[in-house]
Amino acid sequence: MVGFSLCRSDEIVEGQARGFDPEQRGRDSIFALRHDGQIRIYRNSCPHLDVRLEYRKDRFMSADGQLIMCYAHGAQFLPATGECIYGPCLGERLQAVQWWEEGGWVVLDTTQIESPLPRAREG
Amino acid sequence: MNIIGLDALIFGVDDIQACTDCLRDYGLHPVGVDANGGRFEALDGTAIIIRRADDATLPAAMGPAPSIRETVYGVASAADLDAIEDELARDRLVTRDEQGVLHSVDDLGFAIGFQLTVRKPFTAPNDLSNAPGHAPQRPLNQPGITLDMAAVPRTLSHVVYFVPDAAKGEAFYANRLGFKTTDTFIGAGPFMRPAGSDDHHCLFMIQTPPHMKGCEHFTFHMGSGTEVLLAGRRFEQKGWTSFWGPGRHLFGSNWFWYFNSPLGCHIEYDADMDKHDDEWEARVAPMSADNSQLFLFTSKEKWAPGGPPPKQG
Repeated sequence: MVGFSLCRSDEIVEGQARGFDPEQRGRDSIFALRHDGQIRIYRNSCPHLDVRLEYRKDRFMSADGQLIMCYAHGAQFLPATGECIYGPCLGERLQAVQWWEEGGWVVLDTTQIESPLPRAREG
Repeated sequence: MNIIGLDALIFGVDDIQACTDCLRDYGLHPVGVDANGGRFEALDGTAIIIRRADDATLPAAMGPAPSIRETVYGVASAADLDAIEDELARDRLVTRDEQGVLHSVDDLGFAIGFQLTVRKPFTAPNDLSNAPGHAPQRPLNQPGITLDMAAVPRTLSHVVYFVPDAAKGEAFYANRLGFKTTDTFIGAGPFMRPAGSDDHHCLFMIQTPPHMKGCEHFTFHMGSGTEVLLAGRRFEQKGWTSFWGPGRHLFGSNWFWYFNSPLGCHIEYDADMDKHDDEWEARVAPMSADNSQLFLFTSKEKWAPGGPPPKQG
């Protein structure tokens, strides 16, 4: 399985999230967070309207770090499952992204990345 | 009941610092802001007010923080306040606080307030255009834009609610507070203006399932479409997430650009809204992307804010 390294796992700290742009579209298409010690990664797309969740870079969580928020319409999601517990998409879920840890790095399965990864520039 | 328009929107939030950063970057002027919140004013003194969500002086929240807690309308005279108090007190609790502000609730459960308006006169430059076939507006040798030109929110324009019963809401604002419906999106709700304002709307209601009830967005009038583009670009460059726009609405003709915000709703820039009087006949149209935007400068064309039904999943 081909992997794509996002960041070191210890860079994802408890109660905070970090957005990533592995498809190089100029906006973060996935985000990773740590909740109760566990790293979770979701697509940055609200089940309500397929829009970005964050109000600015890396700001995907409630102020107390206990919930994922969609700052478009205020939907709230459980970090552990991605289930919407308040808001327009009540009962729906964020789309989880599969990952594994390798040598202290958070690694994505590249088949989950929609556009071809850019190759390293030569020369 | 000479309601002039919105004087302030009050939010209960869980992150005072993030909301302070947002409203300041948006272009509002902080007044008396500290760790418990404060006012963020436009040029005419209309404002967004943020408070801690657990502030006991705020009306009850309709949902979890952050959320809108009160919509405060400005009126022209003390007689208007008395008339509103008399009207609403017929069937609901109306209180008057130490500052003389009336507080009550609408038929949908949104807290509403009324006060002698804080709006103050101000002057700000017009965005002058040169159009072939029409006398030039801008003097010779005067550039239309400069890198450092101001693009500052001028006055609180409108608020949009998600409501469980738009017809009930329309009836309340029309029959009890003298609002007029200027246009209606079928399946969504009415655009309404109070009697003391000729702006196309200061209130728009979108019918949604009951669990969505709350504020969808608010916006301040900018000086022009150019100012919407300029302020929005600057806001985006400060890192705030664009949601929809820039573009121009069909109903109201106002330019728009919406952003996500830590206030629990969108924050918009708008400009150049239509003005109406009682001769206007309200239009009715289905709410669709084509009907809500005449043009749009991004590739996101499949939704309006809160408009179309949720994706089927």
